[in-house]
This record gives sequence, C-alpha cells and structure tokens, in this order.
Amino acid sequence: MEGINLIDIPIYILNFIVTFAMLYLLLYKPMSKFLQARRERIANTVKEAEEAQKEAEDNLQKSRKELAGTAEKARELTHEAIENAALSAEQVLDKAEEEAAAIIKRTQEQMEAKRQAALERAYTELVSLSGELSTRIILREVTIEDNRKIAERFFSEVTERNKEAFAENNAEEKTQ
Amino acid sequence: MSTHVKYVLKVAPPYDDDLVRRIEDGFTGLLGFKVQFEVTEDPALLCGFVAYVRGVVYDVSGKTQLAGIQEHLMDSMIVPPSVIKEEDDDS
Repeated sequence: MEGINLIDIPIYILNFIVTFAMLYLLLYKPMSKFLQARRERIANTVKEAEEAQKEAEDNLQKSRKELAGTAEKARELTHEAIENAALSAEQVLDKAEEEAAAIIKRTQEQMEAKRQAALERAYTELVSLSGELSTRIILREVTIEDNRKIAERFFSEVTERNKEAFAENNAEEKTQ
Repeated sequence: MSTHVKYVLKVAPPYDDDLVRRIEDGFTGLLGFKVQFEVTEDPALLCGFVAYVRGVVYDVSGKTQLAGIQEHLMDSMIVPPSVIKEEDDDS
C-alpha cells in the first residue's frame, strides 16, 4: 500500500526550503531590486517632470511678468513720446509765435520808418509851400482896392451869417 | 460939436476916407447904431483892418489871417515829424 513515507517528508521539506531559498535568491531579490530601481526611476522621472513643470510655470510666470513690464514700459515710452511730441509741438508753436512777432515788429518798424519819411517829406514840402505863399503875400503890394474888397467881404459875410442866425431863430421859435 | 462916441479903427495902408466911411457904414448897419471911428494907420496889419467897438474886437487884418493859417497848419499836421517822434518816445 502506498502511503506517505515518513522518511521522504523531511526530504520534501528540505527540498522545498532549498527551492524557496534558491527562488528567493535567484528570482525574488533581483526582481525586487529591479522593481525598486524601476520605482526609483519612475519617481525620479516624476520628480523631474514636476520640476520641469514647476520650472516651466516659473518661466511662464516670469515671462508674464516680463510681458507686463514690457507693456508698462511700452506705455511709459508711448506716454513719454506723446509728452515729448507735445513739448516739441509747443516749442515749435512758441518759436513760430516768436518769429511771427518778430516779423510783425519788423514790419511795423518799416512802416513807421516809411511813415516818418513820408511825414518828413510832407512837412518839408508844406513848410516850403507855406513859406513861399507867405513871402508872396507879404511882398505883394497892398492897394486900397484890396482893403476895400476885404471890408466888403467882411460885411457881406457877417450880414449873411446874421440872416442865417435870424432864420434859425425863427425856425426854432416856430417849432416851440 | 459931435456927441457920437468915436471907436478905434486900425487900418493897414493904403486907405482913404471913402474906405473909412464904408467901414463906418457897414458897422452902423450891422450893429444898429451910429458908428464913427478914430482911424490909426498900422502897417503891421499887412492888409485889412481891426475895429474896436464897445469892447468887441473885429479883426479882419492880413496879419491875423496869416496867424490863423499858421495856427491851423500847426494844429493839423504840420508838426515836424522829429517832434512827433520825440513825443512818442517820451510817452
């Protein structure tokens, strides 16, 4: 009858232990080591990926900041350019006004000089003319007839004025 | 003896009685009372006459006419431009 041989049991046990030990040594340990290494590699990869992502985010943030700074700087430059343009325009206007004022002043001075010259000429001519007339009047011999004419003209004019004054007085009295 | 008051008349030479009478008649007609003059010859008048009647002077002499012309010219524009310029500078 076949049955369990008690002598074989320890052999099986020993065999099992030896097999287990060999498996442990030859399979489990390298496998475990391999898995550990793989785990570490994956962890490193994840860590590197996280660092890369963090770095990318940092770079993105930095780029955004730089962009914002650039935009602000662009705005400042634009504002400064506008102010400079306004200042330049103001300076151009001031200069134009100064030039216009200078031209007007120069023209006025020229006109004044011409006016003075014209007045000088007119004065000289009139003084000369009046002097000539006075000389002719004084040098001319006065006659009785001249004096008579003067008297006649005087009384004639005075009589005429009296008539006019009388007529005006009558008209005023009538209107009143 | 005449009771008429004699007023003063200065006349530029030459003149005669006829001219004096014409002037007297003219003033008599103008003023409405008899006017008689005591005549004085005044060559400085140049021509014409100056009559003094009751405090009023009637000056029709050439001298005054010339003075009037001169004054008119001076008042209007016949002032030396240099004087005008000096006045402008002073203001």
